[in-house]
Amino acid sequence: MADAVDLAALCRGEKGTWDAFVRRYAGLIVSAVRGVAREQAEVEDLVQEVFLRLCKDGFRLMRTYDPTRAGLSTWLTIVARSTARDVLRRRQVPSTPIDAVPEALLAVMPKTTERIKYPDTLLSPRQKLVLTLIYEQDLDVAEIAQSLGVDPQTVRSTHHKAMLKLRSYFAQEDTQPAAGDERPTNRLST
Amino acid sequence: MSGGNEFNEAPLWRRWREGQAGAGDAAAEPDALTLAAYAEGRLGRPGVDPETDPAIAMVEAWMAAHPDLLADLAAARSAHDEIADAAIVARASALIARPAGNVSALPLRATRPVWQDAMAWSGIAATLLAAVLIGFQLGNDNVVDLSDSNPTVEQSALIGSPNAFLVTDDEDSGI
Repeated sequence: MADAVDLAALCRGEKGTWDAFVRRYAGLIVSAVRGVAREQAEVEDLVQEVFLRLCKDGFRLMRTYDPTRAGLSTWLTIVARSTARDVLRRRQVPSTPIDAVPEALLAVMPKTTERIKYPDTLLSPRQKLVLTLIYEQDLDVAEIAQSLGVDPQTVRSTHHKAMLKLRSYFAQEDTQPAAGDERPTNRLST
Repeated sequence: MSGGNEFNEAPLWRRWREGQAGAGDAAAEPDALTLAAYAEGRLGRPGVDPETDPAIAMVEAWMAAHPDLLADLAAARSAHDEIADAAIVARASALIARPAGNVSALPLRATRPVWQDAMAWSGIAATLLAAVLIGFQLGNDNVVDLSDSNPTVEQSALIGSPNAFLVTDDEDSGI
């Protein structure tokens, strides 16, 4: 599909090429944005935001596209949905005048960092992703396989290996209580 | 079929997840081109296990923290065109204006021979000269007519006596 547009001429800002690009891909971007928009009325504005993002700052975003790495339609769809989400998120942000904010809320609070109890490297990113999709997104194997571009057996295998690691890790942890833990008998004795 | 039906080890996952609070925040966000390559299965090096390929791992780590991105990947894989309104196309086209230097050339007017210009200006000059001469001649004829003949009463009233401003009815004027 990228062959349909002269990318070099497009990034030079040639009007005729831009017009051809808009005519060719407006329908694709409408389709991509429609999946993100909450209302039909938003679609036109979101499509305009996508085209604006593509051409602003001397086609800075457009210049990052590399046809050897991915198809133009695939890339445009991801850019369109990401842009649409950003725009909708910006619109949702409630704006409160700073005078209306109680002073106590403006005080800088010390940042509390949550302690990560288990090693992040225990599971591979793919294992984490598969488990997230199964147990948090409630997707089935076929949906996950389609999303990741793998076969269903790979999903089952990934899940199985991840669970073996977790079982092994927790079995080890349960037999070695952390130092400083109070014994249950002490708590009950008082 | 939901995941919970096939896999029933959610408590184990939840236990690990609770101890991982905030861990996914450190994942680097992949750019759109990386995501597009992932969606098309073109990410990663040939011969390298996809599960250990750093580029793929980066995308999957980010997606594990932001699973809503899966919808983007699904949409990208099934990208299809719709009919875009003419208004949408017109608005987007207008984002890029025609460059100011591209002025459409209009056809030049045919040049006239020099003698035609000379003739035109000569004609104008001759017309003006004739108008001046005729006007002068008419005025001159009128003056001659009035001075050579005895003026009638109406002509005298019209023209007036040349010495009228010296004659007065006032008797005291001679004092």
